[in-house]
Amino acid sequence: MENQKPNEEPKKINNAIKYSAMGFQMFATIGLLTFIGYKIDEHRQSKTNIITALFALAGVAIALYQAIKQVTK
Amino acid sequence: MDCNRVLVSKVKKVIVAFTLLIAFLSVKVDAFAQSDSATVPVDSVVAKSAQAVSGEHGVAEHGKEKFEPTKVIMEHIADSHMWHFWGHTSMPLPVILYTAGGIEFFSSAHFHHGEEDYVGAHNTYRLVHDKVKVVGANGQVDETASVLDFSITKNVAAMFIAIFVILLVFISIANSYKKRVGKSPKGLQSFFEPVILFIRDDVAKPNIGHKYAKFMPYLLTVFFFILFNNLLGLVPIFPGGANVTGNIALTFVMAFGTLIIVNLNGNKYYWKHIFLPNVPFWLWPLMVVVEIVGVISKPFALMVRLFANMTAGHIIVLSLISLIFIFETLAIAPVSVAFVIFMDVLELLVAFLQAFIFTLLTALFIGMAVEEHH
Repeated sequence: MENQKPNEEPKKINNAIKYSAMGFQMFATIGLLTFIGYKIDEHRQSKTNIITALFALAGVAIALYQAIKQVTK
Repeated sequence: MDCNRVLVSKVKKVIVAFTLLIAFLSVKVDAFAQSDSATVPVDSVVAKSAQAVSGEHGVAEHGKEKFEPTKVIMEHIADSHMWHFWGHTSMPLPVILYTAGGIEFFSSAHFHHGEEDYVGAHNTYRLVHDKVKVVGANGQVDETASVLDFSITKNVAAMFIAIFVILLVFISIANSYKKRVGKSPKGLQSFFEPVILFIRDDVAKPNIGHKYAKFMPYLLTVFFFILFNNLLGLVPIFPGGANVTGNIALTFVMAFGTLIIVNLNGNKYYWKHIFLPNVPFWLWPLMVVVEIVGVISKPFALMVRLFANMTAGHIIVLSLISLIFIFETLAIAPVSVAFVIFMDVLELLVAFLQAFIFTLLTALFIGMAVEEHH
């Protein structure tokens, strides 16, 4: 795996895909949590969609955490 | 290659936005133009002739239904109970329903393109927006009646065709390996051998490590299944044309397969990382939630990516073709066709790329789950 010249190029591609996957993962995380929050709000029939907002914010935080963790690995 | 990928998605986005903009604008302009010619007093020959033309158009159009690009495009990318060929020719497909009364099995031709109801053994059925609904005694659709639809729809049929092609190709390859032991590959074999080796050497081995052999069957199956379905989706005539990989249910099942395989093969380090992360104790409840969200969001991203990419590709091609009908002139056809050919070539690349990315990310996630302590 390491220190092989012919493998350098595919590795670069793999990294690019890894990072693009991170973007999608952030999107998925935020989307998933927002959706859960939305469903809770719908269930509670609350006037202001406060849970949606809070879950979306939590989603952003979790997505950022995951992204930073993957980059620093 | 990595730059290409970014470029491809950017170009796609721009083209989608541009096409939708044009479609939207042209509809708007049309509407304004018509109301203008009706209200503004006519005082020039040009305006007169223009009105005459638009009047003729109006008369001619009363017979036809107005072209709605959104409806047409959505019909084309959605699943269907019949396989439309051209004009009024389409192939009926079997409908299999599981109802409270029992199982129903009949041909979708009985619906006559949704114009007629079908009286089955247990209920009367009607096709509403390509969904089978039970019709109650009063002649209205009964929304409360539960119908589970296991029909062989267009997507399922297309999937069967793809599986048939895959079996045909790979059984013939397997046979030629058996026949020509130790000899150089030939024909179909020599085309697919590098692809299989590429998946093994550049996808599985670097990402999974020495345990790669166990996961090769799944990775290769996923790769070729997506690839064949993508490529068949690009063929505009019969055996192709279905938007199989652009169906979120299908991508969901594939991503679910990845989720199961990753988590069944997770070793103790993987599980420790999720449930006993190395953090201060007051952070622990939060971290477990974060990690579990991470476990789910990874396959979720896989699902959305494949679905979005393939659907976007189909929408672009259909929008470009729709331009001819939106402008109602043949003059736009050369431009449209040129763009469609360009997009088709791009989609050819995307078909390979998406299959590759799905396989690569699956391998990556498996690698994360089976890697020894670092």
